[in-house]
Amino acid sequence: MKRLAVFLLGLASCNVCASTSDQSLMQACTGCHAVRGSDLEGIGPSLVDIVNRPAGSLPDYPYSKALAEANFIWDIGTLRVWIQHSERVRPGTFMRYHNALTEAEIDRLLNLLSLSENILNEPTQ
Amino acid sequence: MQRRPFLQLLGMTAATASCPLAVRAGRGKRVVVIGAGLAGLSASYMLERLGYDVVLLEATQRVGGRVRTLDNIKGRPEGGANVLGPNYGRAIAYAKTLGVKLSPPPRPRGSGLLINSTYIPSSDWSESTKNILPSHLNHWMPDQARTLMLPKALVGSSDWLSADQQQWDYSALRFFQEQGLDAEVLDWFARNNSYGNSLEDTSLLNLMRVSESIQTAIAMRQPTLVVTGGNSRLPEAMANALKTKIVFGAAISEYEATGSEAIVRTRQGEEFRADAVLFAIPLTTLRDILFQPQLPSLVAELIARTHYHKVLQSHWTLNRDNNNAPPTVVWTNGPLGRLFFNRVDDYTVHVNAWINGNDVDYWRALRRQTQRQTLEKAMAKIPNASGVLQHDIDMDWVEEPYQKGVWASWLPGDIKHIHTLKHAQGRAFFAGEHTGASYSGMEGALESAERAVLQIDRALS
Repeated sequence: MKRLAVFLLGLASCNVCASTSDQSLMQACTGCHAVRGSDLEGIGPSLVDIVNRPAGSLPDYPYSKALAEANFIWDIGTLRVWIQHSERVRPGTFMRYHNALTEAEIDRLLNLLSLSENILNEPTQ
Repeated sequence: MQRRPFLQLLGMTAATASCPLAVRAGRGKRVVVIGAGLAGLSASYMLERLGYDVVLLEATQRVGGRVRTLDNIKGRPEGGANVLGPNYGRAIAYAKTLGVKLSPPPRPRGSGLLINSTYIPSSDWSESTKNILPSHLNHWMPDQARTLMLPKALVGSSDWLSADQQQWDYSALRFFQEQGLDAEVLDWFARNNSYGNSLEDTSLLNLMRVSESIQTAIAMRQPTLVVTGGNSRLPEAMANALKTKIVFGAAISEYEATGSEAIVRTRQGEEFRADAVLFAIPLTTLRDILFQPQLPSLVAELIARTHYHKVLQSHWTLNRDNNNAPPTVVWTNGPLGRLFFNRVDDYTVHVNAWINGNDVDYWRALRRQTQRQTLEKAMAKIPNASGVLQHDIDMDWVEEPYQKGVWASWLPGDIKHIHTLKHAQGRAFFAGEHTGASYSGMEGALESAERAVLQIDRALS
């Protein structure tokens, strides 16, 4: 099922057509995080392959104590709650973020983050 | 796979599959952005990347707004925004992307206090007879003691906006009076307070917000940053990265929305039409614009009544006959505010008397000669501060026609209303540090631009 969904989305994500406002959703993250392997490093940890990564697990990233000691996996559920209330979920996190996305937009954003890199490529000028 | 995301994926597929080749979010839609400060520049940059046709209007002849390096003064001091916090992710990302170099500010050379013409090095402060802070706080500087006395109720960076914290949105004067502080300590707490022109007009909740923000930045154990060559290099690089040419000297006097478009008119009578208009300007400048249709009354009242914090920086050059330099900062209990000393070269020190709040009115009323004597008298008490003083410039933010102050300083009781300032009003959208949530200052401006672009994209795509 997941493969089918990814396949369908992949079909729609040709570079020239990539998304009406997917890019604007991604801007909620890209101020601080790399979302593609080719992105410059941000002050936050890279979000490439974030889904199903253990929290606080990137080697060499200077996590807050709150995240370095975290013991959970970034799945769609934890990421959704995180985007909405990061600082309440792990008080002391360095991620200062006030969510402006609707729930539906968060779901779309999480789908984008869980997909392979090429969908996030910017459309050509 | 959960059912809901999958259905959404299908929906997305259908929607995107039908889009014509090369169509992007904003193609063909016009956005006029007003104000080429950090918020307006960042919004323009993001909107362009989303495919919108952007026109950026700026009332003055320069970009950067309240980011303003005084390039004509030796040592290029900052006249506006000072440092970037280590958690200013968006600002740091712009610098990286645009090849603008950041570096930590010079190492501090110590600090001191000047209380009623007596100089006390910080190292001697806790034992000083001039120190009348409550005993458990007397090893802290007055500004730090003020911060440490605040209630610690905020956990998250935007908690200050939440309904359950509004109980703290009352006058900081009342709070500190209730702590039984001496009148002189209350005066110290009022002086050099950056979040209200008087302690009475300062929101306790706003002070708590700033304190929470500073604590988080300190916890990162990373240095603050400045832009190499001056902070203005960042907005300049952002302006250069835009496809659109900025229209300078365009001060807006009127906004009118019809069913099909929005029109803004400049004082010179020029007209710009768009599908959306983003006002990335301070409330003090929004006041000068006639809105048709009128803004909701609560929004209009907030725009009209919000105070902007008064700051006047009196910049001087000190020429010395030896190469010792004064301490980096000297806190005074008035009227000079805080004196910042920045070593330019072996024999030159830049002096910035950073005067806050209602003390600005007092300072402005003095004749230049009296100002000079006041400064010279203070400098005579401070180690390594003797020499020949030359006045460079007064950076008086209250007198700047398009700022009239440095940042919004919420009146006690108003914070519960300020979310309305970021609501879209028809085709009008709003950004600027005063609409920041998790951040204030430069990063707050960039945060607000991100939110406003999302709103515009929602409305127009």
